[in-house]
Amino acid sequence: MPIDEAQVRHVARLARLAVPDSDLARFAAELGAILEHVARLQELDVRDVPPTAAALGRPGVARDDEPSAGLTASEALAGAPASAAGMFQVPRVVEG
Amino acid sequence: MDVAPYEWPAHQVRRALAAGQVSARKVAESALRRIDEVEPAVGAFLHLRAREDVLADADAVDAAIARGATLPPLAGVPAAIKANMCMRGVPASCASRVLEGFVPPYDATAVGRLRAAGAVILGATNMDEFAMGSSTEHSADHVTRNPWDLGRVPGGSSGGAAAAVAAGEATIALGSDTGGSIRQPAAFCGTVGLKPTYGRVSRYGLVAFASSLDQIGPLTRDVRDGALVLAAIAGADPADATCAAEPSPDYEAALRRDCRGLRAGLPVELLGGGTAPEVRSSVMAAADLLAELGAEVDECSLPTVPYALDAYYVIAPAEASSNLARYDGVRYGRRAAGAADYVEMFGRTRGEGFGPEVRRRIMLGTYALSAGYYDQYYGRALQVRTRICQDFEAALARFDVLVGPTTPSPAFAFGEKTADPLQMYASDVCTVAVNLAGLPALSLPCGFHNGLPLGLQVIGRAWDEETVLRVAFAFEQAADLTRRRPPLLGAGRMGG
Repeated sequence: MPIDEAQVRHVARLARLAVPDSDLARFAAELGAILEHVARLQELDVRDVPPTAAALGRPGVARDDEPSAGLTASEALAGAPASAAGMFQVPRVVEG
Repeated sequence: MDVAPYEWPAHQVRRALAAGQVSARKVAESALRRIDEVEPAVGAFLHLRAREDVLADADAVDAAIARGATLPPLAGVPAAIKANMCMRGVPASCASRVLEGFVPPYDATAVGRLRAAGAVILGATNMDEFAMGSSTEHSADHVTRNPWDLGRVPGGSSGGAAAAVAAGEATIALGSDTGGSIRQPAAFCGTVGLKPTYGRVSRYGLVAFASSLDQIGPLTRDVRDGALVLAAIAGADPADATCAAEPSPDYEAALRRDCRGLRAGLPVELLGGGTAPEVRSSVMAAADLLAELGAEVDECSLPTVPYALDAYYVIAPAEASSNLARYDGVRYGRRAAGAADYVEMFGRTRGEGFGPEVRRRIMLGTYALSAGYYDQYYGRALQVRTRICQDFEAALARFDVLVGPTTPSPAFAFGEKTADPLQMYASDVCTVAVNLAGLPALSLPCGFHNGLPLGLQVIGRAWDEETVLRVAFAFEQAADLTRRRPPLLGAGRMGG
């Protein structure tokens, strides 16, 4: 397998995704099978081939630099799981 | 024969309204009645707008007609929207628990344009969670059934949108296509589905999955409706920097009944070993019909396309792992309760909120982008993407369009591919390359096998939806298959 349980644990931490220990083996097997499949990409000779991150190679289209109305604070906060004093509320980030 | 308004294509609704033969209210009532009849069996919708709100929108169209106002192109047309597009006041859950309770405070540009064109929006349709899947079985809410065979999947990820149009619940629908998510369900449900050129339609308000691949497009009863809906939603948008400034032509004017002077290529790689015999013979018969209609048809090759699925299943998850970082339980949707600190809150919110396929893709994409693996996977996939783009460029220098199957097989049964992610991914084998290259492509019915529709895919040059629509329209008029309806509950003979 190209990926073991320790790597799955590491990737889950990078992705901020809680994965129970009981799921690690299954993830390793599933991700391993997919990675083995996509290893076919190594068969192709792509020396000197530039990468394409976006097709059609278009530059972004900038809008006119003019202010326009956006959401109000209360609209932006309406879907928040927790808010207070016109702000999103989260668990404490700094000690003290 | 008395065909109820719910069965009419959009262009017929427009004609009947203009001639005063029907009111928008009658059309909306017909759709709502049809939904009452078949929705319990089909399950196309995640959220239906309140009946009185739908009828109020229809009444506004009738009032405008009474005032003598010019009818907008989709006046009074009942429309469904995939649940990954924002509609003010209508839940957009993306069929995910992590977005439970999210009600967007604004309209996606495409939705706003559809409303401005007079469409009457019915509700939000079911999908694979965050558009990741090919059967709509990955919805966190419920399964959607294929109107042609309730034991089979409608395809995905826009499965609810395709099923709603096929079942007569909605006249038109908007879906999104990242690797085939409009075309594949259109093929499975016997509708027309169009993925426009990347950048043709604004993605503002479309929940991002893979931003370099995602594109909104129509699912419709016929090709003319596809042209009408594309015309309504296409064009530059100051809110989306990837939406092109290219003028949008009159797509309806491009429709013609012949293919004279056109060259159509048949890429041998799209008819590879995994293609079901009935799909192959149906596509070959379609190629013969295009030749009868005046097209010059010849085989061609896209040598790198057999690697498209591998490139796609690195690139799309990589982009998704980045895009889905925003679901952290802070600004909208669900938050895990009782976490001791913010890191635990992020992890548990996401671990509990995302379903298995979305977790798998986030993990895969994070791995492919992580230190030590980036070049081997993501970098490599982007280079292969270049080769795929070059293949299409070369083929489309010789041909005006490429034609092939939309899917390697007709609709499959529930549970047939859920156990093995790779099997599910393989059902996108004919469609993903088109997204990697950013090209427009349309699927329309080209035959039936054991009562299940089969889809023909027409691929065009970038920004040339007109030729794609022209070829599809000529084929549709000659083959006369899009008028066939699923046998579901005596479609079409139910009266007003």
